[in-house]
Amino acid sequence: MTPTADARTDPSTLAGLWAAVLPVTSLLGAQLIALQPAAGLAAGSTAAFVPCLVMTYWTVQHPGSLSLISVFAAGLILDCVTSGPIGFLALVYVAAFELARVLRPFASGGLWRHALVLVVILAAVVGLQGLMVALTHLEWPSFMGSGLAAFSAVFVYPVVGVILEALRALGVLAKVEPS
Amino acid sequence: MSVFDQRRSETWRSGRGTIEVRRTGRWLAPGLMALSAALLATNLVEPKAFDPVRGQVIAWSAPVIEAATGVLAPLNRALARLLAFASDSNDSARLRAENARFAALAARVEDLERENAELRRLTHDAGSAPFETVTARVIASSPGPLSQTLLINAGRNGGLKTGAPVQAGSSLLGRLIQVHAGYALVMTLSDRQSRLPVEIGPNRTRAVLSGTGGGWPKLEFLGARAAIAAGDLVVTSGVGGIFPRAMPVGVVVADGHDWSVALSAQAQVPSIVKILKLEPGTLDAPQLQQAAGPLASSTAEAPK
Repeated sequence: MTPTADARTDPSTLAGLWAAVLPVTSLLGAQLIALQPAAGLAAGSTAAFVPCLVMTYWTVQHPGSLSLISVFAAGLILDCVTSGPIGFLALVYVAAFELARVLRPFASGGLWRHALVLVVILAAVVGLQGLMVALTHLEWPSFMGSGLAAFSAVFVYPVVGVILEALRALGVLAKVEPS
Repeated sequence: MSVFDQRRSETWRSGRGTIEVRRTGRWLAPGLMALSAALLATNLVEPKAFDPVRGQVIAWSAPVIEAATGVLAPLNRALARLLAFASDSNDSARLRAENARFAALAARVEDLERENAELRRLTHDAGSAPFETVTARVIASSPGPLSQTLLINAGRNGGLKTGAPVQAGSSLLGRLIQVHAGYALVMTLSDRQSRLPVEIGPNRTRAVLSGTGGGWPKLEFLGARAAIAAGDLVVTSGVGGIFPRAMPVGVVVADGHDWSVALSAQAQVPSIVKILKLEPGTLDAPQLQQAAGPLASSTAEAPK
């Protein structure tokens, strides 16, 4: 095999392995950021949306690179670690992932469309979380905190995108071993 | 091959050309959503059903989380300072107004302190009781709206047990809800499931502090004419025998038509916490009739 673009998707090469591992690893890294104590206990923590930003990036920019199963598993792990109801974040993540996948064609039409898709996904996440709270605690939660955090997460997205794109580029730099 | 293994390709056309994308089976997403909903329903009906699994996941992942928190410690500190600065900037006008009001309350606080010292001599409270404590580092906080918990790096190995009170500084932060070998989960007072019996102000008005899932916890079961005011100190009442008496909790704030409590321990997520090693239920619960006097003679009305 010659070091071509195809080699970047072949897991038997270093570049291919990097491309296969990076999306899941970055999602787990985003979860570690969301768990940081300084991110705060407030429901409206911007860091809580970082995993959603990472999911959106991979789904929209590099379709097929992140699997639904890994997203589901990531949500379950976070549910376990945070003592939240098992299945809550898993459901939110799967729904956000599917929404991103459905809206992906629209997002490819330019920066503003991409931003709009991100806003829709984050709004859906906030709404779904609020719905879960309403169903489980029989009270409608305030959306002020989480809404503001989701809005500020939109401005964090370009930073996340630049970092992930740079990490992805490292795979291209990796020497591809001819088979 | 099951339906979940099927992969189909789908083609998208964009300005940069045509791309072919592998697509997972059409039933995978709905299936996982249904599975999540089923897990969620099971967990809500039987909250302890997944505790063994949760314990295993925490045992595996907590060392990674702890390492990540250590690596990101400088970033954490910078972010905490930034949040504190932003909070200070936003609150400066309100704080100036409150400052004037609190200055008038200073004399009252001195009276309370004298009264507190007297009470501590008379009762076995947190300040005078020789509780053994364990210090632990906070390695993670919950990012979701359904749980307001902290993961700390001390657990069963350190002699901790479920239900033990957790302090940040000298103020109550919450209690242990799950204790694993080397780690434990703290449910903070702002968690939606948190309920804490408290005493408020010089009249020692009793109420229950209920978590709201992120904001200030609310005071519930107050009398219609409860004698409390903004700025009153809130301490644990010791009712139920889970928490010692007179542990500082926060100060009363008027929140619309409700009374809330600005928690002393949770202005920021603490990096270090202190766990009191005591058996829940072994504390002497104070007599309920102690509150009868102040409640009966209360005169103030709810906030407008």
